[in-house]
Amino acid sequence: MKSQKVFKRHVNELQSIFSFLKGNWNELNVKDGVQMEMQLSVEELFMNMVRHNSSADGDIEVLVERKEDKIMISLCDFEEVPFDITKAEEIDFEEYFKQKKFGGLGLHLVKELMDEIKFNHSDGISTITMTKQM
Amino acid sequence: MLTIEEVNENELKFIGEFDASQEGLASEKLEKHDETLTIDMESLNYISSMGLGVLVKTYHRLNENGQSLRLKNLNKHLKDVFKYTRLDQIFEFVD
Repeated sequence: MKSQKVFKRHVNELQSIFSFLKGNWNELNVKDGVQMEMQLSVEELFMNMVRHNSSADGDIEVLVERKEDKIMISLCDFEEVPFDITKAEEIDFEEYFKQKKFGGLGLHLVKELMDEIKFNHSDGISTITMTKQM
Repeated sequence: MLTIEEVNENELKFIGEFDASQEGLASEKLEKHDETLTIDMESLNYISSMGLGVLVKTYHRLNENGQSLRLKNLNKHLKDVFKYTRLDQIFEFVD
């Protein structure tokens, strides 16, 4: 089963995204703990696109799919210069705390929560696909 | 949706979900506090990195003035989020 929907590029769309995800959980038989981790990871990637992709002003597409015992969620966005999040630098937490930083933890969190993250860029569209074992 | 209740002048209660859209509301409330503050998270069931950022910023501001930020009654999901982001190393957790 596959479900997809497009959302406007704005923080106020988060509630609509969460509703869309919650609408899929029952049908896909996703456990409570996994639901929370998937929602959190989707928020982090969506907000990363909203805040940091200055080359786009269009909608962002979210796709949810279950394949056997895996749940997969993809976020698709136009991107002029692709930013492959799987190659993003790891956080040096000793330096992070020393410099009193307070942001930039989102991608690290996604990497911790998901079993696999894939990045693809084709015809100007960047697609990030996260996979979580059920 | 996040609701913030004032338990007393040194304690707040966070209720609901602290996602990126709640950053302004939370920052505004926390900026009013200059002394050691406790946040009761018993009824908070979700926090994203934007929410964590607001808490870390508040922690540093209070810490610089010899005060602290205490978090209490976190559920397992929230504890995991703090652990994955290593923030369990800087915050003071109370039960």
